[in-house]
Amino acid sequence: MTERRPLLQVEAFSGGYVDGIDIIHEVGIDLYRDEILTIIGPNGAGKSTLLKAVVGALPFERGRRWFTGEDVSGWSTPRMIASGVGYVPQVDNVFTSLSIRENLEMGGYMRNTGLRERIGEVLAMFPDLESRPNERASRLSGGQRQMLAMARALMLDPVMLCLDEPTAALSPAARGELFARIYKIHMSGVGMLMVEQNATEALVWSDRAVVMVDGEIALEGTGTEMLTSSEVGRAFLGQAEGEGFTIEEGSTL
Amino acid sequence: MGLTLVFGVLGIADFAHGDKMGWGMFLAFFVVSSEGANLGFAGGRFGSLSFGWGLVVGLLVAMIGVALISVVLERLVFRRLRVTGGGFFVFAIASLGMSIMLRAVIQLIWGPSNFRFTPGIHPAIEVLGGIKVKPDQFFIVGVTFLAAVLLYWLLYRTRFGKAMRATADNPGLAEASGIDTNRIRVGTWIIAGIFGALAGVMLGLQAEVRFDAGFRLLLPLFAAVILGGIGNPWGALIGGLTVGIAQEVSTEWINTGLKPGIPFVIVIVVLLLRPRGLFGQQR
Repeated sequence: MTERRPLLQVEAFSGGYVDGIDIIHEVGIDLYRDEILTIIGPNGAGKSTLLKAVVGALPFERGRRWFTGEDVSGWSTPRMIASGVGYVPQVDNVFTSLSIRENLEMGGYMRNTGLRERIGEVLAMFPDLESRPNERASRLSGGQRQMLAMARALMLDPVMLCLDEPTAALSPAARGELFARIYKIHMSGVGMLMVEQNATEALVWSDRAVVMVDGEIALEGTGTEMLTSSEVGRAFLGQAEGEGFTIEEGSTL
Repeated sequence: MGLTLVFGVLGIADFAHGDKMGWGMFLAFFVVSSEGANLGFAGGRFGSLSFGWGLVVGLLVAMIGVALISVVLERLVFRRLRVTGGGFFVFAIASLGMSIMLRAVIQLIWGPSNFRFTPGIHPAIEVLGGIKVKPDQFFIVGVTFLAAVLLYWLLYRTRFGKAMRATADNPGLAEASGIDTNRIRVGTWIIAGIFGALAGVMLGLQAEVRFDAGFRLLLPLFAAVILGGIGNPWGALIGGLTVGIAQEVSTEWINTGLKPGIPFVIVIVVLLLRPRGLFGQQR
């Protein structure tokens, strides 16, 4: 039997945007290819900063990170992207003046072959986009833009996708649709690392989750453990004392 | 078109563009003038046009020369300013400095005199309604239209052009998508330099070859770019035609000396009524 190895390992990682001022402190996480790992926590906890650190977008960093067993400490974002990491930033995550198809072409800029075929494959995952490939991204709704941002990140056929608050500012219906899409992409063999403010919904879809507070990992557990934990519920899910989140027996994702 | 490209893709108001046109004009003049003729380039004419192969070679030399000047200035000035966090106004003022320097060097080499690519009288021919047009002017209009088609094809049909537009739209995301944005910047300067040289040679063909000819055209150029919509090659073409025609037609009602003020009026009206220009995209 082969040993289950993490896709991503981050060890004793500290860093920030200004030299000498750390936003995250000695953080360690790992992600397996067959799981969705969600990072939750209050505003300013360093969740997005940790995600940026993972994709090599943090200007100042200390610590180590491995991806697919290779030491990728200090690697730049383009290099991480080329090695199989997809990254969807929280804002400005599509080229608004370009069409849907052109956005996908730019997502696949590093591909030397098979660009047209891959665009077809990716569009097939997002029917909303497939029906109007020449539409300008600026004309899309918030949910459709997020879909396009994910589609763009999938163009290089990544093995891991990093999503920074993908459901921010979306309606409940659009959030549900987006989470379902994320899950579907995950089931096609893509490890998911996700930062989310809509913690309750995100945890329903997550295999594991970590809670960040003040730049450190405060709690770690499975999605179900987090949902049923009264401590997490009170602090991060907006539940009252004694209230718990229950998952109906036999419910499926 | 070069100006709108640099403005649209790099976000730089390049006040040196007019003087780069001046350099294009003088590099071509060097080839077709007696110094160039001694090198064996000049001579001959194409049909009723006023020039021959000498100017074609001159145009190629001008394009290469101005592209090189643009790349050197990017490496020596703009890249350093970018690294140190220079903003829009820093770039604009730096380009103004380069404009003065480029013009001064032209004057140092060729002096303040006026020249022509090909001396002599080049008669106009009568077209519809008694309007007289020189054959060279037909050529200039044709070349300008072809240049706009070429730039449009480059920006909207090629991978490099789409990457240029992506970099203009969102440089951070472009970099995160694996686009080498430094290469895109250098490529943009090269293309803008080539178009600037082409414009300079066409200007020299239509008017006189003079050290400040490009600089004198700078304000109408900006008016054309703003009118057409920043970053749009068709906009630059239509904007250029509109500003040029408006300037010439205005002399029917106002003193010729006031003609240079027309581009300012156009800029003010456009900024008040349609700030993104005729063909500018809304984000």
